[in-house]
Amino acid sequence: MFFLNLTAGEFFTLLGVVGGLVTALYLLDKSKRKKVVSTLRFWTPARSAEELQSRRRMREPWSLILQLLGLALLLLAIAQLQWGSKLWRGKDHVLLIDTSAWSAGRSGDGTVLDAEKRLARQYVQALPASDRVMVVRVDALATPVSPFTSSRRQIMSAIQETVSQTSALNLEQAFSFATQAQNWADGVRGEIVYTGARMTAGEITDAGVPANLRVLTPELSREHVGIRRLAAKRDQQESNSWDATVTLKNFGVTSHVVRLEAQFAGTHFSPRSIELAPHQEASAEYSFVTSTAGELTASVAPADVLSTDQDVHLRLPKSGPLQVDVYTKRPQELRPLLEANHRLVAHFFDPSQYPTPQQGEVVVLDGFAPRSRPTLPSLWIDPPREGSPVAVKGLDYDAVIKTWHNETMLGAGLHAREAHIANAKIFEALDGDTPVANTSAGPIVLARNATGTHPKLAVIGFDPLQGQLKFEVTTPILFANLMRWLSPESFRTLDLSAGGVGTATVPLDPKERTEQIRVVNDNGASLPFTVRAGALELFTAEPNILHVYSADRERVLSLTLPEVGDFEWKTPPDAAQGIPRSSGISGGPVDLWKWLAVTGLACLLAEWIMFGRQMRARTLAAKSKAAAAQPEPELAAK
Amino acid sequence: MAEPLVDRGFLERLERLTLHWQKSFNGLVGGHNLSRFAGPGQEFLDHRNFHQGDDLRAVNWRAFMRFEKLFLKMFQVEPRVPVRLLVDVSVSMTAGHAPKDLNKFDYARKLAAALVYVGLVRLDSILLQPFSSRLLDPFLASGGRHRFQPAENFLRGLTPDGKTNYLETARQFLSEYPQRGLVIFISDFLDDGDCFKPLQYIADFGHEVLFIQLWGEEDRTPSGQGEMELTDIESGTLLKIALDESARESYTAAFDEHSAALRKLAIRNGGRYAGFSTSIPLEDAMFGPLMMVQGG
Repeated sequence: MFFLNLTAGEFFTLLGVVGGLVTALYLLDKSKRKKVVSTLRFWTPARSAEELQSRRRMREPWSLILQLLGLALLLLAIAQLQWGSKLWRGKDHVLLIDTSAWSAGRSGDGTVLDAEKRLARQYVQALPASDRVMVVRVDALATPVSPFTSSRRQIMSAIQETVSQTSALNLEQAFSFATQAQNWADGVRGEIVYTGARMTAGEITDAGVPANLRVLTPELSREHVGIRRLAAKRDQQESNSWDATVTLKNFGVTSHVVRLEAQFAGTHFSPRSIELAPHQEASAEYSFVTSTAGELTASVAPADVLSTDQDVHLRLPKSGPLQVDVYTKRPQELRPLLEANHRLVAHFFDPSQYPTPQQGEVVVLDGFAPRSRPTLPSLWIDPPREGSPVAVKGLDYDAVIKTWHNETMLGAGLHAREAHIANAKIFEALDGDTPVANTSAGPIVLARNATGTHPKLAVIGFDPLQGQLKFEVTTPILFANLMRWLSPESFRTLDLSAGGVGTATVPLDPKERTEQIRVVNDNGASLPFTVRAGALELFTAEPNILHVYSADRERVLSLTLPEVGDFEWKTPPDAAQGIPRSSGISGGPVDLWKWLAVTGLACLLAEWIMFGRQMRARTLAAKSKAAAAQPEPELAAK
Repeated sequence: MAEPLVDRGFLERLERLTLHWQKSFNGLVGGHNLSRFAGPGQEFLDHRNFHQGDDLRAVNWRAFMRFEKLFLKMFQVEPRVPVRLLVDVSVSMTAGHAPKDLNKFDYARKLAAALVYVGLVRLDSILLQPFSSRLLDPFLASGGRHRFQPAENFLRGLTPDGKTNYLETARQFLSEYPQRGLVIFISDFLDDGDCFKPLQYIADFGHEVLFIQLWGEEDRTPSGQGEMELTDIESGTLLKIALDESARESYTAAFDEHSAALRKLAIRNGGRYAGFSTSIPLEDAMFGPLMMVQGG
């Protein structure tokens, strides 16, 4: 016999407390009651009362005994007392089903996962009916999909619904989770059963392997060559030039010669034949020039047991210099200023041509204000006061620039202090505006962010090609900064790479500042990351396209390749293997709580009938009998 | 304003009742027989010759004018049989009632008020005489129903006090009120001594007695089960008992025997007896048991 819900200590403590309470109430109930009466003359002599008292002493204890017995039985029912040996009670097993990238591999007619499910079902069928099983899907994470349950239907359903994932197997973590789950269940510890390809992300020490381990290995070949990474990078100087690198790996134990085929936007590169020694990695580089967007793909032939990492796709964006439409009456003066930047191409128009149907990506308006504002980001140079996009609060005919806002990206590298300007407009700055240069009266160069109705704009409240600033290096830097702010995408260095899901590491340049780094996915949601030893680390458990922004640099991580484990874990010699024989034990211990509850209630009912209800009934009967015997007043009068 | 002992509706219903007595008293006429003695009264009885010292107001001046002789008018005297209502105010009257019922003391006061009102309606004079170990200050109620309020105030002012002593009460009563009449006892008749002998003395002195015995439910059928410690409310005496069915039955039998003896004493002396529980509403008691023993 053993308790399921309460320990013996808890049971006896509870019984002691409740029993003591009942006994105290019983004694209180049976103690002498005090009563004030009109007279004592009708009471029978004390001797007969004493006789009655002794008779009562003989009878009343049964009431207490029945109450205590009833309570003890009810408490035993709550404790779920069971009859039988503890060995009869079912064991708690944890079934680890490998859903890592290798589970999608081919095994016989189906996949490795199909073979794992078949083995798992056979194992569950071989267990005694009272055994409980928790099904856990293991890849980079260990995810329980059922609690410890003896319901075969629930277990089979959890096994059936298991699907392959794309991350590598973290078996050490899975073993740790299974051991903890068995501890928390506080039951009879059964086996930890692993079924899968035994290909892990890292090596496993023997210390992490549980003693009660059973391994069910499906038939499969581990000879496989797959793509580990595809990276594309735009050239720093020439925005149309791309360098792409494809990295392959041989996961098997024999050498393989594979053919690598690559293409961009339907244009095939010449195939390359690559020989890979066991566990060797090799890279192939491709350089090409294009300004159009398209998909860069790479694939490995021949196909082997695992096809999920044998082809990879990477979407390259459109590239090329920033197209700028300049409306000015002095193109010869502005041309050297704008064309000094190789990332942009300027198209000059007369202000009377505004707006032209051929539009660039940024508009420069020099010394005039059009009737309709541009729908593109725009730079306004010395606009007239009436048509200025930013309200002018005053004019300064001898302005001196007091401050360049170096703390912002717009003011980076601007140092021309005390520069005198003959005719400057002082702007009215609003909340959210970024002043770039200030005189003592207010900002004279200002940037305003895009709103719901207007695109970004920057305005220079003076003519930079007149006066002292014409000869300062500040002027081209100011133009470059404003252009970069108006169209940051065009100036950003772009790195693209395709890799496996799971942990991704991005090396950072030493000058990149951690506080400027931001990682978002395709939906714009921020992802957590760490920066350690000059590299950014992040984790994703499912295929994802991530963008890492850092100042003027953007890295696109297309983490769509499966993370294929490359270490084969050898089964320890003392671990059980294969499907166990059926134990033949079909039944478990006998639950007694229902019978105990019924008997306990019966005891309390009997006590109530014998000592509670009947006593009240007798009192009522005596009263009605006495009332019936009451003399009739009218008879007395006669 | 204090709550009246009996409400107005009940008083109106009491107007049709009368206090009856059955005995003839020497010098007085009881029952419904008129007196043949001349005296102060309203009803004319006869004429006689005027003698010196007679009240000139009784001279028949009309006859003097005719016969030139003085004749004196004589009127029929209307003697009232004295009705004395002895109300037990001992502390035993406050015990023995069920929690839902009035205690005997309050019930007795209400009952006394109702009887006084009945008497006042018939222009009787009723002496309210509280007692416990001795007679306390009395109150004479007379003069019709409009004099009911002082009597009610008197009853409301009574407080339970003292131990019942029928022997002393009877001795004082007989010396205080030698004129015979109707004596109504409202009491629980639970005297530790013997109450029968004193009551017999009162009857022996020619009084007509009406015993109204009140009891609480607990007085006659004590509740509870098991060991009990009982305290006599008057004497403070303790008694430990084990109450069970047979003990309860013995107790009730002894109580009924006591009531029967009281009834027997009343009947033997030409009196009447009514005994009822305080659980019976007062109105039911007045128009039920009491009306029957009164004869309407």
